Amino acid sequence: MWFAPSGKEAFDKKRESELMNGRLAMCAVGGIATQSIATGHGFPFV
Amino acid sequence: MKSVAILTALAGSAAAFAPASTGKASTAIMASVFDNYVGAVDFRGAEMKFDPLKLSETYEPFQGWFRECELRHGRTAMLAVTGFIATDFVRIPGEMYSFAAIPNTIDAHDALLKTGPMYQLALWIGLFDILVTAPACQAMGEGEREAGGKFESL
Repeated sequence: MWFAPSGKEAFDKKRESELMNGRLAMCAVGGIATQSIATGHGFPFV
Repeated sequence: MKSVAILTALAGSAAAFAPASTGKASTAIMASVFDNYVGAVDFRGAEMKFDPLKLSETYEPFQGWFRECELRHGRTAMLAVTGFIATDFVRIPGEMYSFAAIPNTIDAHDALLKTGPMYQLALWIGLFDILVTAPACQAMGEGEREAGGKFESL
């Protein structure tokens, strides 16, 4: 779409970035839920 | 006679649900899943072929499904992290959503179940999954669509 680079090499880099961000976010959302309940605080979750 | 007909019907329906990509599978076993797709790197960018349970080989016809699942979960989780943090700074207008009513975001689910908006969320997300996700997954299974798809088609 707007940010999609042309060329297979560059596009594969973006796909890899999506996977990496997604994996980190999947871990992060579990951590956020756990920390919210454990501490009862907002954004920094500590 | 009747039972034979039923058995053949059952066998036919079972074959319809079995993955029919045996021809493709034999070539894919030669090349590992890590050679065909992106994503076999760790967080520093070094190569990491992480599949300790060998799921991609054991359930080889389901590789597309697994990729679809990972991408979809990842996209949802990226949105979830953003939304979870954003609600600590801004709230949408309305008494039931205010900081006074729900001081902590983790309590929002139970509180909004009582007042109602969660059911609307379930309705719209359910409609989206029925109208967009299910046909997309079907097209992915039939090989008409790359797992993950293009962003505009989600």
